[in-house]
Amino acid sequence: MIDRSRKPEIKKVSRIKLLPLEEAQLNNASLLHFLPDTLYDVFQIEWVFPAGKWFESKKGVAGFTARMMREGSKKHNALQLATMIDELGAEIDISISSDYLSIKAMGITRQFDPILNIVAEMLYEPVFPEDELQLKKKISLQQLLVNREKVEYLASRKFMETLYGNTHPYGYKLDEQDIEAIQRDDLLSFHRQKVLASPAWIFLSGKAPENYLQTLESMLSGINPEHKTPVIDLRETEHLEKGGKAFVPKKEAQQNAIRMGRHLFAPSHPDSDRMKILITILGGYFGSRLMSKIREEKGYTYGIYSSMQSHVHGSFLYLATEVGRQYLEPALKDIYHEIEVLRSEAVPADELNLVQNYMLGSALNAIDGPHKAIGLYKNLILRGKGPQDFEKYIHTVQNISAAELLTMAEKYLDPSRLLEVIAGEK
Amino acid sequence: MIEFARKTLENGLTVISSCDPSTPMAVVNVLYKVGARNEDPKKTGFAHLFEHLMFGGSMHAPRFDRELEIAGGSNNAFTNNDLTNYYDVIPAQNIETALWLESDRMAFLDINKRSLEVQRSVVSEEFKENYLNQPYGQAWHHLRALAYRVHPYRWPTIGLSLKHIEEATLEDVRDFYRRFYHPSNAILTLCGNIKNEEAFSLAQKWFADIADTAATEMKIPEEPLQKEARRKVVEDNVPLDAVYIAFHIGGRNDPSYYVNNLLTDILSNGSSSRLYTRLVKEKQLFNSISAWVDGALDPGLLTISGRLNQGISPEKGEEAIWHELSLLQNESIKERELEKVQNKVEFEITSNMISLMHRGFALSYYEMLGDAAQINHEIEKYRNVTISELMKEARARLIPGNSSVLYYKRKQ
Repeated sequence: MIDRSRKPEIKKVSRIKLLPLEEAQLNNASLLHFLPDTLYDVFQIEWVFPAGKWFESKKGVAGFTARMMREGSKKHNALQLATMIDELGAEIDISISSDYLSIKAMGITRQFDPILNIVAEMLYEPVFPEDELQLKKKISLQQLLVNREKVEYLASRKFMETLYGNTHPYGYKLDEQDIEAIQRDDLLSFHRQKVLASPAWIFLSGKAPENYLQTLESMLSGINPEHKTPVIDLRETEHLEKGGKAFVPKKEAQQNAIRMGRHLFAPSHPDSDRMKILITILGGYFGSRLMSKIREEKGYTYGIYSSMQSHVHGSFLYLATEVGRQYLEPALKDIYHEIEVLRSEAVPADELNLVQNYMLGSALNAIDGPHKAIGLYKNLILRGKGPQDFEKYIHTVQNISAAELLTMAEKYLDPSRLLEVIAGEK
Repeated sequence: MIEFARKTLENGLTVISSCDPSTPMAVVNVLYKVGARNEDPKKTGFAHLFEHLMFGGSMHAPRFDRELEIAGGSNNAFTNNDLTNYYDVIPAQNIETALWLESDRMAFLDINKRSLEVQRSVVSEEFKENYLNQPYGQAWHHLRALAYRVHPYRWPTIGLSLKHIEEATLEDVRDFYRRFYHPSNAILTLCGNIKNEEAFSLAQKWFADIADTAATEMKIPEEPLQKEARRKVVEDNVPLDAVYIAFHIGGRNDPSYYVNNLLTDILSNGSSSRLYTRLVKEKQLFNSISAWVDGALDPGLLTISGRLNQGISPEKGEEAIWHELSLLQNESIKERELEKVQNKVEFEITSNMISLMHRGFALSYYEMLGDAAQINHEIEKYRNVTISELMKEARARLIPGNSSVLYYKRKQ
C-alpha cells in the first residue's frame, strides 16, 4: 500500500516566459502583433480600434455601430454576409467594451484569405441599412424587459450608475428612450470618425498562411486613416469619490444580489499589482476568504467573487454575489468582517504562500499557447503596457510581503468608502 | 489527430494518456459514469449534490482545493444526466499532487454531517440562482416532465425540487459513494506535458491499490414510444411569451445523432440559419430562437425554443416553426447548405481541441461512449451525413406525434 499521508513534493513555478511576439507596422499605420503556431490549422485575428463607449457622444452609439457592421456592406446584404461566413465555417464577432471596438475572426487556416475579405467589408464598407437597424432596436428593447427581471442585472447596473454617475460612459446603461433615439446617421458618423479615421491594433495568433502579410496589406490598401498610429488616451477619469448604499426593489425575488466596490486607480498605478493580490485573497479564487466563509462554511450562496475591473481610464474593486433572502444580513456582516480582518491582521505565511503559488500557476496557464498568450499581450498593449509589466507582475507576486498587503488593505479597503448595492426583496 | 495511449488497471480503472510537449501545463480529468439518470425518482438532484461533496476533503487530504491551489492548480467539476466530470489544471511538474488528491477522494472521501449540511444549502442557493430566480428558469423542469413519462431524463440535473435536496441524508451519500465511485466506474485521463510512460506509472502508483466494489446493476426504465402530441401551458412572471418544442431522438451512440445535430445546425447555427433569417429577421415573430440536440446517452431530445416578440401569440410562433419543419421534410436541402453546416462543425471541433482541458474531458467522454479513438473520427462522421438521411430523419422525428410543446406565457 502506498503511504497516502506523504503528499507529493510541490515544485514551485519559477519560469513563466511569454512567447516572443512578432510585430510589424503595416502600410496604413496599423500595428500587427503575431504569435504563430504550428500545431493546429486554425487562426484567430482581431482588429481593435479606440472606439468603445468612452468615445460615443450619444448613449448606445458605439454598441449599435458594432452590432450593425455585419448587417450589410457596399457589396453584400446582411444575409449574404452571414451566409459567406457560415459557408467558410468561420466565426466573426464584433463587439465593444468600455474603451475599444473589436472585430474578431476565427477560422480554418486554408480559409484565411476569404475570411479576411469579409472582415474588410464589415470594417471598411458597412452601410447600416435602416430596416436592419429598426430590427436590432426592437430586439434590444425586448431584451431589456428580460434583463429587468434579473436581480444580478438590476444590482450591477445600479452599481455602475452610482460608481461613475449615470452620464459617464462607464456608468450608464441604455433605457427605452436611449434605444429609440439611435439613428442611422449616428452610426455612420461614429464609424467614419472612430473606425475609419484610426489605424488599428491587429492581433493574430495560430497558423497563418505564408502570404498572410500580403493579404493584410492588400486588404488595408486604400484605407488611409487620418491618425498615424492608434492612440491610447491614458488620462484617469474623473469620478465621484464616495461610499454609500443603494437598494433596488425586485418583487418576489428569491435571492438578493449584492454588489460592492470602489474606485481604485489608473492601470499603471504602482499599487495595481499588489492590490490584485489582495483582492485575490479576499475573493479571487475558490480558496479565497469570502468563498471559504460565505459558501464553504455558511452555505449562504452558490458563489461569491471579488476582482479588479480595469478600464483604460481607471480600475475599480468589484465584489459580487447572490444570496438567499434570509441570508442577506448575515452575509453582509460576514463580508464586512472579512474586510476588517484584512485591514487589521497580517495574512498568515501559509495563506500567502498558497495564494502566491495559485497566482503563478494561473499566470502560467493564462499564457499557455499562442491563442491565450495573445489575449494577455492585447490587454497589456491596450493599456499602454508591455511584456516588462507582466514580468513585473510575476515578480511582485513572488515577492509580496504580508506587511505590504496590510498597507494595501488599510489604504483601499476602508468600509466607509465602499459602495454597497442590493437588488431584491428585503 | 490527437495521439493517446490507454491502459486498464487491475481494479478496472481505465487510464488514458495524451502527451503534449508544447505546453507547460497538465490536466487530470476524472469522469465517473454516473449522472442524474442513475438517481432514485424520490431523491433527484443527488448526483449533482454529491459532486459538491467531493470537494469536502478526504482522509489524507482534508482540504482538496487548498492542496491543489498550493501546487499552482485550479479545478472544477460538472454533472449532467449521464456523467459527473472532475478536472484539475495544474503546472505539469506538479501533476502528481492532482493524482494524489483524485485517488484519495476516490477511495477515502470524508463523508460527514457538516459538509452535507453546508452543501445542501449551497446547492439550494444554486437552484434559486439558476432556476427559481430566473425568468424562464423552470422551462426545463416542465419540458422534461412532458417529454418523458418513465425515464429519469424526466428531471433535470439540479433535481425536481428544493425539497429533494433538503432531504438528502448521510446514509444516501454513503450509499451513492459506494455504488458509483469506484475504479471500474471511472475513466482517468492525463494530458499535457507528461510522457505516456510516466503518466501510466503515476496512475499505477496512486490508483492501483484502490479496491473496486462490485457494480450494482441498475435498471434504467426505457421510455415507451410517444404516440401522440403533448402540450402544456405555464403562466409565469416573464416579460415575453416563449415556445418550446421537444422531439425524441436516438441516443448519443446512434448514428442518427450526427444527422440530428446537423438538422439543428441548419435550423439555427449562425446568422444565415433558417430559423434566424426567416422567423427573427424576415417575419419578425421571434426575438431569439435556437435548436439543439442534448447528446444524451439514452434516447434524448431535439429541442427548438424561442422567445416571441411582444404582440405575437405563441400559436402564431409555433405555426411558423412547424412550417419550417415541413420545408426540411419536403423540399430538398441544397448540397451547399449541408456543406455549410459541415464546415462549421469542422471548425468547432478543430478549435475546441486546442484547449488542453477540453482534450482531457473529450478523451474520457469518448471512452465512456465506447472508444476514446472516436475523438479523431467525429469530423468524418459529420462529413458522411447525406441529404437523404437528413430528410428521412426530419420526416420520422420532427412530427407532431413525437412532439412535446410547452408555452411559457406571461401571467396576465
